[in-house]
Amino acid sequence: MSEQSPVERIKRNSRHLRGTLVESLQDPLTGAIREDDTVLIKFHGSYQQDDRDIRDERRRQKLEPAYSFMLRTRLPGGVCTPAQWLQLDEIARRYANGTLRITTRQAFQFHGVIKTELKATMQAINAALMDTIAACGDVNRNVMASANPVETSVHPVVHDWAKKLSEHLLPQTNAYHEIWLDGEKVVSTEAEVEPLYGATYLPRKFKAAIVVPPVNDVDVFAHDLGFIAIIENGELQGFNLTVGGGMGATHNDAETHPRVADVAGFLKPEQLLAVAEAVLTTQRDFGNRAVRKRARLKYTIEDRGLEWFVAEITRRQGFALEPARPYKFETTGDRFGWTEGCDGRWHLTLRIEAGRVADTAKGPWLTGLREIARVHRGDFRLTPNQNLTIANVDANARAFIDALVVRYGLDRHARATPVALNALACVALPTCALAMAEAERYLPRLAQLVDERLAANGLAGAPLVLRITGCPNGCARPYLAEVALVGKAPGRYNLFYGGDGKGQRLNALHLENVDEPTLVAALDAAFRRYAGERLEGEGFGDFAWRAGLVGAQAA
Amino acid sequence: MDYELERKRRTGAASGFLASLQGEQARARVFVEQNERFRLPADTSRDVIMIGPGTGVAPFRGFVQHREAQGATGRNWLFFGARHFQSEFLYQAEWQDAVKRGVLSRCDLAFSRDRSIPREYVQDRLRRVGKDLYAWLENGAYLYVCGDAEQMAPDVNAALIDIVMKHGGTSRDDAGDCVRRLADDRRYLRDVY
Repeated sequence: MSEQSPVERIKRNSRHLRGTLVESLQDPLTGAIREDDTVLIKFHGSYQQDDRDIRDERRRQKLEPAYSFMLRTRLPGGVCTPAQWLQLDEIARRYANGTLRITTRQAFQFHGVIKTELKATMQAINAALMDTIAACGDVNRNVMASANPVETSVHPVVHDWAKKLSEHLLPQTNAYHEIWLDGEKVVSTEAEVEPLYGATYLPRKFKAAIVVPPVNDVDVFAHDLGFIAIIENGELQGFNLTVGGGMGATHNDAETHPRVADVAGFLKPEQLLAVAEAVLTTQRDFGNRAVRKRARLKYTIEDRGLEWFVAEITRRQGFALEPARPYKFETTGDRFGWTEGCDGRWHLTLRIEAGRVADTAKGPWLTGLREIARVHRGDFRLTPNQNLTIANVDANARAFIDALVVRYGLDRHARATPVALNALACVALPTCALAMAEAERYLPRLAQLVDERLAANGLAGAPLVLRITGCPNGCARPYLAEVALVGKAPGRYNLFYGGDGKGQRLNALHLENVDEPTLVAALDAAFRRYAGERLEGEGFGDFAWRAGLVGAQAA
Repeated sequence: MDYELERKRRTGAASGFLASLQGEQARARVFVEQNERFRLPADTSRDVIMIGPGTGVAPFRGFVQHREAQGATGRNWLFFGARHFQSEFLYQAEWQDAVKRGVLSRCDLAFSRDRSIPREYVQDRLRRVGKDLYAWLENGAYLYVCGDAEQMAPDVNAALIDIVMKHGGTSRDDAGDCVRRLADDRRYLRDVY
């Protein structure tokens, strides 16, 4: 127990995530909550933030930072109903900053909720039959599932497993209900309160996803726990288990790095929950609780070995995994536009740049989607690429939906370049406390710069997976991109090349600490070589390795 | 202070005036309006209650700093009010620090135009904590009011009378007398404008 991270003490003393949140919410002198409570509120699905654009000005005015809270929904597989969309739209306009943010993990985020309205917002989310439990913190996070699989009949099955998995791994504490929903206090012994997590929950965040080949939209190898659906004759046979993926790293710290998950074996569908529990409890018991930056499952597996890990989960779940079955991934991107479902209904996937649904100069997207939600009879699916699928549209409603899409400028997918279509960005500034540089706000310009360099080298319209994050935590999965920018300081990024476009291979550092002119020059040089030397059908990421732009032989 | 809002140029009253003065020899006549009585108690063991909504909070910065420098053993209690918490809580960071270090024993706030909290003015706040306020006065505290003369000062005065009446168990007339005596004793001091 000695030498544990201070966060462990905070969790242990929190009475299962209660801490002094109630008192913090009531303190009228500040828009912030107490420091220990900022750790605990994550488990409730919220982060304390402040508007970093005006931090200095506020300090000069002798005012505290402009505190506000981000709220993230728990939404297994990213599926919600039109009724829920309308309620979330209203919450966004009433309590948040008038925008809905679709995350890279298929959840909604609200930004700008002030402390005195936090409880009301939580209750409004609850009224929409949603919650924010375990959307952040040292727990299993939002469970992802392929949003628009080619094998469309499998979506309901996989979505159902995502929901089951989310519920099975949910914290049991009544703290959430007591604090936000005016729930009655329930007295129980510790063993009853958190049978799975215990008093200190996990050593770190834990991310799970279910994927349906051949589209690896969820980026399954970036997750701690993954299930690759194996389909034969349109039927789910079972899953390949993947373990130990993770994106986070710290600049200039070789002890930290992203990792691609290992494929550990095959399991039958009915074994999914037992396997998930075995993986999670193994991480709970063996993950590093002294050094948080080495606490993810990927390091546990690296330190002790995959063989040891598989033996441990086999012991816990009570059966062995079968040998992994064959599978193939072709892309991590979304299938834009209309795709036909298995029952004659249709799905329309729209491009929402950086997942930010708002009414801006780009178009009245928030209003447009509200109008669509008013008439839509199917469901909405948030995609892992921060986009939105209007799903299960009757064939005779397609024209009506199309008209609304065009009217509100939601048809970017029809015009955008492949680079612009598939790029990802985390939120970064002005709200994220960890951001070292811009991401979401820089994405439009960055995509344009990349497209310009491609065009200048005779590669206009070339596909290329581009991702940008404001810091090395990697929330937009940059380390799997073909071209990635990872923020270091305002206006400066580390430049990575070499993902495979399918989410199966990490990229590598090409240039450190680049500013925009250096970036443009680097891309220009790289694309010139790519245009001249690439093999037929060779992606830029593959080329980058072969040509020595990254890797041991990089100049 | 110089900015544009709704297509109109707006400048600060004082800063705008000063900025408009031309030339190196520009001069402005400055007057100090004396308020001889608005002083901290000589006896530093006395408690001090400061009621200063809006710009009225200005002198209390100095009061609290001075009391700390004096090593005053008496407690300090600030009442502040404004329209909006996020933008108008003047010197917020300093008050938070003072509370944290115990220099300010209590800090009560009232915001009148914030959406998510009940509309309150400083006099409403006074009434809410009237029991404790009365106890401080009984204990010999000095009470200072600074700020708006037209509405705030009379409203605060009425609240004080209500508090004395309720917690002192007296008639309204007697409560009024009590408050007047406090003023005569120079324990109820005002700087209002």
